[in-house]
Amino acid sequence: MDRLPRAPTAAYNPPTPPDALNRDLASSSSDPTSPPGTRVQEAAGGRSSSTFELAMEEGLENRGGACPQLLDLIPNESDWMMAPEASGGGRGVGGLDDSEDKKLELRLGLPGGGGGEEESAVLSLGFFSMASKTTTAAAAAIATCSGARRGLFESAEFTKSEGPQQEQQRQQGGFLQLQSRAESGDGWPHKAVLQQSHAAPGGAAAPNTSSQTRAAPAPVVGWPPIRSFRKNLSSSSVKPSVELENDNIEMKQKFDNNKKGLLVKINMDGIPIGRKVDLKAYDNYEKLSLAVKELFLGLLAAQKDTPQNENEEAKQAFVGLLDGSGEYTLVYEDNEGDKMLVGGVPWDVFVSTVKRLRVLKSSDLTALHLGAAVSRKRTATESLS
Amino acid sequence: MTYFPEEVVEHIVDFLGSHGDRNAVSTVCKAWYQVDRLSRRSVFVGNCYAIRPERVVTRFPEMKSLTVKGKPHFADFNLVPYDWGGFAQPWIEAAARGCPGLEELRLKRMVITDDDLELLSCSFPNFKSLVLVSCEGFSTDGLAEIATYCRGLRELDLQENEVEDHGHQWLSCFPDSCTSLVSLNFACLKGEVNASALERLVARCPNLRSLKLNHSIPVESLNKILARAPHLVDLGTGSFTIDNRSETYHRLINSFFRCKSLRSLSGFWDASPFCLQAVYPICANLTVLNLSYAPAIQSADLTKLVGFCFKLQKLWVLDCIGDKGLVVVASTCKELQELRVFPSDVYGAGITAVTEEGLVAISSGCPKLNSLLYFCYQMTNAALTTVAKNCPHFTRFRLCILEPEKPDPVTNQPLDEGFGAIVRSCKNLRRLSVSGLLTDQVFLYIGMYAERLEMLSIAFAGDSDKGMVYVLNGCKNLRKLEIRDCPFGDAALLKDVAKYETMRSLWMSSCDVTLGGCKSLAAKMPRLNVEIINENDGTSESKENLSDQHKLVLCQQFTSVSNDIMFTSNDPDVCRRVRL
Repeated sequence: MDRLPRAPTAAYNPPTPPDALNRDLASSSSDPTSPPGTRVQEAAGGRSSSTFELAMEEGLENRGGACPQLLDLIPNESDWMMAPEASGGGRGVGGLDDSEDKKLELRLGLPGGGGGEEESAVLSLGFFSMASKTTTAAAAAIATCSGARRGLFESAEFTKSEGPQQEQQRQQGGFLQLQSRAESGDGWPHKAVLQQSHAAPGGAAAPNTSSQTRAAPAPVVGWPPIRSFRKNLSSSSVKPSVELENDNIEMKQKFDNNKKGLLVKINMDGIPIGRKVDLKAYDNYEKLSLAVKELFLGLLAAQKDTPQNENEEAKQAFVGLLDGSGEYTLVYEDNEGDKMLVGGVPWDVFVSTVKRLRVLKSSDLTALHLGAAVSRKRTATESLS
Repeated sequence: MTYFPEEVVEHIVDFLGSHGDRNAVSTVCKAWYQVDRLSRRSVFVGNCYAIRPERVVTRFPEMKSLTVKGKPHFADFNLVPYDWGGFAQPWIEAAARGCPGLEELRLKRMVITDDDLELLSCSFPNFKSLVLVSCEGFSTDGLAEIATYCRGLRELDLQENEVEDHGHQWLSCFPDSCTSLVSLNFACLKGEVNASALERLVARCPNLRSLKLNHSIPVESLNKILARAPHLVDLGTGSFTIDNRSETYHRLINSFFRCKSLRSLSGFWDASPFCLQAVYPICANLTVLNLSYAPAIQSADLTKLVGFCFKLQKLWVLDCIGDKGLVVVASTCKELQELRVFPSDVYGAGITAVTEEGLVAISSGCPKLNSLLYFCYQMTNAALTTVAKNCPHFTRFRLCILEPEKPDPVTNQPLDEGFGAIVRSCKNLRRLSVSGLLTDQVFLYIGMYAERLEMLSIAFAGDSDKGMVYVLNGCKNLRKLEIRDCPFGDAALLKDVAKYETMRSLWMSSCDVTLGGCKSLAAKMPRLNVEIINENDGTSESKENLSDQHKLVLCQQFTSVSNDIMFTSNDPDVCRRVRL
């Protein structure tokens, strides 16, 4: 039976809270030679990890037999990686070779430095082996012991810089995220921590986030604890033009938008479940249209309850989304609450004013709705001038 | 026992206001249970899954007012998936069948559809008051139904709901014969509302005392409305953008000047600073002021405005008021009881304008302060200790340090001592939210001193199971406990399972509790409703792309906010849903 080397218990330490690590890094410049354990231990103020350790050891002892099985899971990542991306442009990281795979697994989770791969190996395998049984909650619980810590867990210790592709992998899920993040770039621990400390106060944003909220985020879900409409207040409030020029408004909105990933809800007529799409991932309407199709194709086909070959029919539904010629049309709601056809304004303006998207049946588009929006915009502009 | 006529008991029981007291009365004996049951007019259901709607309706056939709460509090912060539940439909249906005399319905964090609203509007001929707080699932079409069919409607109060905009016609559906409105609040509506229909409505409702507009109502309309309704007590302005020194602006000042009864102001959507001057005439009368929707107004203007409001009891602001602004509040608003300071720059890595200094100033200047919600970037133990000493009357104390696990910046220590001082000093504390770097010690303090505590919110705190156990052991009156991202596991969860029967609800997410632990709890306490939310978020990417069940679960654990565990303590007539 293959058993992986067990790390001495003492070497295991729970992921540090980002701030602790931050302080730690700030106070002592990064010292890759020092064992990760000690530094973390100090910084964390001796955070008790007894629960962790117990669970970990259990996992290792009882599930030794599961380890090979577990390893099987990981190569299957090629399936995972190849899975179609929700946002357009994602590419599978299929180019990983085996040694990379190993590196990826081993890289998981121990904060505090690139060293100590052995411990990381044990740690990660422990996680997975626990998860392979029904104690999925345990894996979840341990792996995600805190939103902030989880963020660090994912982002820490990968010493390559993160390319744009990798970001798009993140939305595939935390697991994939961990895999792909291993390809991240140099200076990563610092970068990760800096991001984390950026993210933590901000709560919902990190400079480079493009992942959907469902993927375990570096920004913490549901933090700070304020209602969503309050989060959007500053960025969406329209400054009166007597005080700001229109350019400034746009610029400020763009700037605000750049600080966070631009996730908007999108619903499609006839489909009860909505989706979210990150507009930062695209730079033109064509790509958006493609992405919309990707998002809803499966759901629409399932809805119609059609056999395989009628997927074509479902695909057809998405032709002509932008020009009104197709079965469905893409519309959006802007920051003034008006419903607008997608494609009427330059992409940048669209991104800075869009609040949510809808895929409407073209037959439902009434001139009335859009006309009302147009006339209100007119009066609004007039009253501002 | 001496014969005690039930009529007398009923008469006495009618004096009991609180639901808790009436519940207690009903447990004394069968006779008293009957008296309470038949005489109870106002029914409060704190958790919609704790009891079946039919049971409530059968037990209280003379019910006139029904309040139901649905989703857990953390749903406000997107921690609960949309399709979790909290549906109003079964409640409205049951009431329609069993209590046609219903006059008031108040729902919080529930899902209510247009069909539900239609049913509501047709089923209760005496219906007077609909209050929806943080609800969703309906559109302006549903509002149209209410407006059309609820004759004699007195109150339509929509607070912070997610309402789909299907046009502005709904307001015009109030018939010309509708003259009974006392309170109308549509501030949360995102779309346009027919301003002239609104003006006519206001004109024919002489009893209107509370009116809250949404951002689509321009100032010109506000002028006309104020002219028609000078007796308004509570006003939420619409859009507050005005041209500099225009006639509209002057008329606005006059309008406000005439509103001698105005005590509460909110709204100020898109307000620009100088527009606030229009409000100066009535500042001296204001007891409630909510400026938290106006991010464009900066400290100087806020400060100036607040400087006139010396009768203020409740103030909601954004943190751009700054510490200096809070000092002015402290020196002006000696009657202040409730203060909420919201963060204005959530996404920036920037510096918030309020620190512990502002809070200390408020505490020393406002001795009547009893309710606080304060978002800041940092807090010190010294400041909290001072605040505790200055304000021993806190009943609600919610401090949110925006960066999780941030210690005292001066001493680098956890904030255990600061919060400890708060719970020691504030003997009447009923609600507490803690933040910053906290160890198990703070929970020891909370367990020891917070005797009256009913609701506790914890995030990113604690070291071990002991923390949670301290709280469960110590806080005798604890009803709601919500925990996220803390290292509390099965041992803590299962330590004292009987405790949960004295509580309304427990929420744990991103903690160390396992599925096995939850199952164990459910097995030990069959009368508890133990739920696991396996968050899929409705966006079934993983379902689409991954066929292997094993992988699906695994993946979800990493992607989702982990297994969320929420359960409720309940009545014998429980609806048990175990969702895995």
